[in-house]
Amino acid sequence: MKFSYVFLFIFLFTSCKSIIKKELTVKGEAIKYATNFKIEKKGLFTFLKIINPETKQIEIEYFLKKVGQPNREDMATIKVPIKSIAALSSTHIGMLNKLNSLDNILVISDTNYISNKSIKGKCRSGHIKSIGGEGIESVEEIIYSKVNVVCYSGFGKPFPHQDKLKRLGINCIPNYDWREYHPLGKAEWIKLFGVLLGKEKEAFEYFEQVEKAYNNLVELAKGSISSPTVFSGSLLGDIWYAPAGESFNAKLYEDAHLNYIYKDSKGTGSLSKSFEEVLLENQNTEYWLNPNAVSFSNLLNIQPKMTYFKAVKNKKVYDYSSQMNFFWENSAIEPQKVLSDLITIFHPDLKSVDRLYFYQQLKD
Amino acid sequence: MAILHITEGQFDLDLNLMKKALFSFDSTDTYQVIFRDFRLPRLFMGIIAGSGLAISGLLMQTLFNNPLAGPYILGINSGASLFAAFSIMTGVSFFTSQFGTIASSLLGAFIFGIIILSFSLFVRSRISLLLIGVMLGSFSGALITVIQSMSNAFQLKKFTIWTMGSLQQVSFSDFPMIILFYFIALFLLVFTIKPLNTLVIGEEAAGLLGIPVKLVRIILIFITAILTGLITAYCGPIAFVGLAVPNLVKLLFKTQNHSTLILGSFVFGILFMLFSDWLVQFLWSEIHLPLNAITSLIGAPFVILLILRKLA
Amino acid sequence: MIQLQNIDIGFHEKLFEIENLSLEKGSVYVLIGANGKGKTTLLKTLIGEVKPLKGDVIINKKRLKEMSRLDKSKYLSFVGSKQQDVDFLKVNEYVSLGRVPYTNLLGSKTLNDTEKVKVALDTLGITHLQDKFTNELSDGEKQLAAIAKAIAQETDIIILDEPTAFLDYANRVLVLNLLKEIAVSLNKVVLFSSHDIDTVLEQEVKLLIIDKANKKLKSFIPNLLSKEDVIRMAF
Repeated sequence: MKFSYVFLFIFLFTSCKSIIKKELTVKGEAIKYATNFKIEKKGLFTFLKIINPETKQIEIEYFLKKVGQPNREDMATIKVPIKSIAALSSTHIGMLNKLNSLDNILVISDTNYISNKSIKGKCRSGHIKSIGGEGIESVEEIIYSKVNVVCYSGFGKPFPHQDKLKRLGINCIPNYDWREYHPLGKAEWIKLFGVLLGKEKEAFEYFEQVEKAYNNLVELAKGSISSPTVFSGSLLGDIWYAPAGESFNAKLYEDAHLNYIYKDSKGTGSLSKSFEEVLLENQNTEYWLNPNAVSFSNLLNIQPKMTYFKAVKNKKVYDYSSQMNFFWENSAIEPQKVLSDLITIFHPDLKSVDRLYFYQQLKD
Repeated sequence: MAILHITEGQFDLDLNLMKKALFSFDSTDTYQVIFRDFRLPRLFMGIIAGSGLAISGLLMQTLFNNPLAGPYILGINSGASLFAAFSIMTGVSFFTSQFGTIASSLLGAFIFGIIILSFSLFVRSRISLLLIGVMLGSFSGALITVIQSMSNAFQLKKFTIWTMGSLQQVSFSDFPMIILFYFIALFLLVFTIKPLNTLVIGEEAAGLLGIPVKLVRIILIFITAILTGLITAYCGPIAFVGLAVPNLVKLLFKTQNHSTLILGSFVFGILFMLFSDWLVQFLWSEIHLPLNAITSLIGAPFVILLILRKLA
Repeated sequence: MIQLQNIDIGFHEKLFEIENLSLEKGSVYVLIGANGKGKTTLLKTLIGEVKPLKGDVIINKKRLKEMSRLDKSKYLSFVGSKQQDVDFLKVNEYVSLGRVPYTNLLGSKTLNDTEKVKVALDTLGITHLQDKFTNELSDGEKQLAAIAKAIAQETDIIILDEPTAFLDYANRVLVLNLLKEIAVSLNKVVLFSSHDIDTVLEQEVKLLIIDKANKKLKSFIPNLLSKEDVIRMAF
């Protein structure tokens, strides 16, 4: 008798330990590419940490309280799974879409930037409220909607009236997906939504698929016979802004095995150059990406001198501007499709898909 | 100054190159392209804008007997600004696809020019005309604010950049039209010299000396509208040149003879403009300063000195 | 020279009427009246800035209102009581503006024009001031310069609005004598308004008084009225 109790005890003990171990293992590989957030597990308790990309310090930390778990007084607590959310950035909508969680969205920021048809429909019918900017009226809408969480693009400052919202039980989470410089790092933020919505498994699985597909394409691109030269960016007034060598787009170009003209420059943001400079350096560059125009006539209307670029003369210009909203909503969570586009455009020698998802060649 | 201006940039030019670019243009030679469609237009626009704004400022100062008047006093450029705002910040496809910003603001300048001219036909006193001009400016400013409130961050930035002024938006192909209107304005200017010299002692006194004051007023406004409208459409609203230069010229030459003043405004307007733009290019590697920042930084202290002098 | 017959003077409502008045060359007329009773309006009517409510001003047998601006400027010149302050305008240049009705489209002055300006400066005795800026002059000198400009304009009629208002006693007498001189020796109609009854009565000038009671303009030859009479009638 006693002996069986001992066996039971040992059995329970070891299986508990392995359960605990599994959670701990997940913690080890939780976030691979993203640098601005962490999901940590200590035993049965899950924590979400948001890291400010400027200071590299933890900006805010949340305890994700599951049902039955005790409260914690020392840090912000979010009861998971959350029922409703204010998704204030396009990228959030794309991610929630992949988790089939669009129904949890009650508030978005600006209807003009929505691509997803069902969200648009709900905005029109009033089921989803839009807040436009982030002024005082918008906070009222958020309060009225009684969402559990507000996800907004972080800038190092708290969300307006954050304290008021907290007292009403609404947590504001600053998202820094937009400050990730690796395409997979940006996509990885789906895991944040996963843990909030209780769809952690789905989020991790989805990301694994994306990761695999993306990395396969990187390998594929390496095998291409050519590495076409490309320049990027456009004029704003008198200044030309092009992605710097350490920026998100530069990484994308690198992964697509492109010879990006400014790939050796420093910086994670944009280079600002004069038009003269850019023309000097790129009059004969073969391809132009992201001119921020929908057609050649649009482009030349903005600045007729663009016609001097060889890329323009040969019409080798590609952009996603004709479906901006669609791009911003979906490209973050489907980086493999963006990469696929680049490979399709620039490496016709490789066996790639026959369609373009986001990019289009500029028409007249 | 012109030579200094045109050569400041990312690389050096030589005479042969310039000749080639003008007479046997090869659009694949980058250096030629840059000279002809970048440097030359900047120089050209600097000359037109500098002289045009300075002369317009002089005309307005004499018309209103007020040294603090400038070319924008009748709200002429607010039409250009309003339509530029339409073009840049709204999604109205008429403006974004058919016209570029330049064409839109030319249209706006034209429309507002007609409005002002129509008013000047009916209105008796200069004060009333002034008030109308101020109201027009306020009205279009209010409309611009409305447009801004409905725009996104990117559009706002684009518009703000437009208001900072630039000599670089003009192309070689724009030259003929600009030259045409510029010379129309200059031609009319000749006939205003004697009336301007007389207006110095006041509109009433000038009228009693046989000057057809109403007609002269209309011509002066017409000239200002052409010059200011043209310049604002191609360059955005450039600050201070029209205000500071005529006063500087009067102080330097100590005369009210408008033949001298017009010529002086012409020369010094160009110098001021080319110098400011040269400074923009010169400082480029350190900092990208907008044109209006420089004209204001130089012009504003000067205007303050002027006011102090007037009060003393 | 100037004929005024059955004229009602006023801006919107009638202030007074002129039954029959003839202003001749070689004479000085002084307009006296209470403030607000139509002095300025009469002056403005005479120079054609305001239309009479009834009747016409006839100058040299022509109707004033039918004259072109240019013609008017060759018959009539006007001097205000105070001149606009202008920077950097030399006295010479200022007086030369009187020649504007006669110069060409570009305003270039002929030898004749320059001569007329010289004479005007001499007549007023301000030749020594010709290179000074107008805003450097004293009030009296400014007034003399303005009158010189009117002389340079070579008009048969000179109208002045309170020319002695801001002058001291010595200058007042000086200007009045000057105006008389100009009227007589240059054969012009000189008409001005004044509040300075004492000084005026010392001179041999024709008086034009706005009769407050009857709302009529009455003219008097010199020395016919005493100061009390004048005051009683006008004020």
